[in-house]
Amino acid sequence: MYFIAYKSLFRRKLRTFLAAIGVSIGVLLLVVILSVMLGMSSMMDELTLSMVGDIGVLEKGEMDMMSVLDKDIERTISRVPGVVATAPKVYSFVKVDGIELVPLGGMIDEDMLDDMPEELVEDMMGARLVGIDPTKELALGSYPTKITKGTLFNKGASGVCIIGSMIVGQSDLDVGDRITVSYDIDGNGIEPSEKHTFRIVGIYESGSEMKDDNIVVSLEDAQDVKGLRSDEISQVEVRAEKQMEEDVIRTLKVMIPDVDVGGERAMLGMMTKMTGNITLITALMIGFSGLISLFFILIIMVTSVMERTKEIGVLRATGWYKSDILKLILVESLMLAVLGTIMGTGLGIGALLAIHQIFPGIQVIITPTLVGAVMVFGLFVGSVAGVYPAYKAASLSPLEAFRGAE
Amino acid sequence: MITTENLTKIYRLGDTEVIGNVNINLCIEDGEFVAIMGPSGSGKSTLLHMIGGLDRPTSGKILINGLNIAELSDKTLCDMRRDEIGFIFQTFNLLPTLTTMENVIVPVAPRGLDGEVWARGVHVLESVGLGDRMEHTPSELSGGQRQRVAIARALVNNPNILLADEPTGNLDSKSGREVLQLMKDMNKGSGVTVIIVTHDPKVADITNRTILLEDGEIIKDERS
Repeated sequence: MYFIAYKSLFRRKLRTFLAAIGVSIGVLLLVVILSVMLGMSSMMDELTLSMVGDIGVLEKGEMDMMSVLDKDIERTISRVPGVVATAPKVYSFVKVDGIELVPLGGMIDEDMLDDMPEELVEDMMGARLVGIDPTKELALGSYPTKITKGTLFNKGASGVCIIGSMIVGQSDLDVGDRITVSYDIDGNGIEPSEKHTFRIVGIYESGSEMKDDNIVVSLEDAQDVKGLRSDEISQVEVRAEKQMEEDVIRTLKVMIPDVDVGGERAMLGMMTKMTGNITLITALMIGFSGLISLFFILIIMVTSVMERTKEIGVLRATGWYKSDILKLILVESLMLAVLGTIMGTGLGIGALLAIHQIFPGIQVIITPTLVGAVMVFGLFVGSVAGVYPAYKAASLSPLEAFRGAE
Repeated sequence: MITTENLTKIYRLGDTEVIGNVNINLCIEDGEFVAIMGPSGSGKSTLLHMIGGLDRPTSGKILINGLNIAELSDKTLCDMRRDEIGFIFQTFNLLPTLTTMENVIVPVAPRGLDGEVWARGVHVLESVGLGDRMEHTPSELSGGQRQRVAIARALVNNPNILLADEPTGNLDSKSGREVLQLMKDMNKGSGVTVIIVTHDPKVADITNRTILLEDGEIIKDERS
C-alpha cells in the first residue's frame, strides 16, 4: 500500500512541499539548538577542567590578580581539619617583549580580534604571570605533573620560568630561550614597570585554555615583578580531602572572615546551575520545534483526509480494514515527516555553518548522534501528528465516506 | 443466494425518522441479473448498500449463502466485501493518482502484492478490453473506459456478487450500452450474480428480473 501513500502525498506537490518546509523549520531549529548546546557544554567542560577540585582563598571582593593576602594565612589554613595541601600563588598580568600574545588564545580567535578596536587589542596582548612554590605545587599535583619538555625549576631558583603550551603555539619560544616581561601595573599597558628576564626551563600542558597561556615563575620572582613584599601573596590554593570540600569551605569562612573562600568551587556550582538552565531552555525549545513540525503535519494530513473522504470510503467498500486506513494515513504522515526532517537537517547544518562564519566565537558541534537524534525526533513527530487524522479517517464508515463527498 | 427477511432501515435526521426500506423480503438466486428500479428516494441505494454490507439494517436479516451479514463484525464484513462482493459506482470512484492497473489491485493492496495479484489484474483488465491502458491514469481515459476499470476492480477477487449503483448514470448512451453488455457477459460467462440499481428503463430491458421500489417497499417484482 506504500505506493498509494506515496502517490497521495505527491498529488498536490506544492502543498506537500510547503508542509515539508514547515516541518523542516522545526527540525532546523532543533539542529541549531542541539548543536549550539553541545558546543556550549563542551566549553563548560573545558572551564570546569581548569578548576579541578581545589579551593581558592582570595582577598575579600577581589579578583585573583588584584587580591593581596598575608602569606601567614596559609599556615592558618593548613591547620584546618580536612586540608591536605596548600600552595601560595602570586598572579599578575605582564607584557612580553617582542611577542604579541593573545590571552586565552583558544577562546578568542583571530576573527574576533579583527572586529575589535586596535587599542583594545593592544591592551589585551600579554600573559598571566603566576608565581608558585614548586615544592608545594607538587603536593597539589598541578604544574610539575604536566611538564611536556624540560623540567620544573627548584624551590628558590631565580630568573627561570616554565611556559604554557599555548605561548609556545603563538611564538617560536623553546626551552633554553629567554623571555622578557614587564608588569602591566594598571592592567591597560599604559605604565609598564621595569623589565625582568627569565630563562625558559620547561614547557607544560594542562589541557585547559585558561592555564596554558601562563608564564610560571618562582613565588619570589613573581613578587618582585609585581612589587609585592615577601609576605604578600595573591591566593592560597587549598586541596581538601575528597568529600570534605564543603566542610573545609565552611570552616575557612568562619575562621578567616575577611577573605573569599571557594572562588572556583563556587563558580563551579554557578556553572552547574547555568548548565541546568540551559538544559531546561533547550528542552523547551525542542518542545517548541516539535510543536511547529507537528502543527504542519497535522494541518496537511487533516486537510488531506477531508479531501479524500470519498476515496477512503471506496477503499473501505472494497474491503480495506479500519486498521489499513489507519496505516495508510500514518505512513503518509511519516513520509512527510521524513521529507521535512531530511530538508530540515540539511538546512540546519547550513545554518550552523553560516552561524559559525558570522559569529566565530559560538562553538557549534555536529555529530552523527545529533543527526540520528534529529531523525528519531522527526519520525516521532510524524507518527504523533498522523494519529489524529488517521484515526479520523479510519473511523469513517464506508457509507459516511460516500455521503460526506456528496 | 441472497435472502432478506423483513429488512427495514430507518434513518434519524434530528427528531424526524426517514424511512429507507420497510419489510423487504427478497430472494435472489445465484447467477441472476437483477435491476432495482424506482423513483428517487424510494430506497433503491439503501437496499443495495445493505446487501453489500456497507450499511446495517435497523431490523431484519440479510442472508448471503445462509449467513446473516447484519451480525458480522466490521472486519469480517470487510473480508466479505473484498472476497465475495464487487462494487460499481455511478461516479466510478477511481483513485486519480493511481494507474489503471494500480486502481484494479487496490482492494488487495493491504494484504500484499505478489505476482499472482498482478497476473489477476492483467487478466481482468484484458477481459474488460483495457489490456493496452494499464499504465494510464483515470484522467487519460474516457468515461466508458473509467467505468470499465471500475468493473475490473470489482472483479479482481472473482466475487460471486456484483453490485452496481447507477453504473451508466454518468455515461453517454453508447458507452452505457457497452458497460451493460460487459456486465451481462460477466453474468453469463462466470455466473456472477449482478444487481443494478438504476433509473434507466433500458437497463431493465437486458436484465432478467426487475424489482420496483416505492417509499421503501417492493411494489413489483417480475422476471422476464
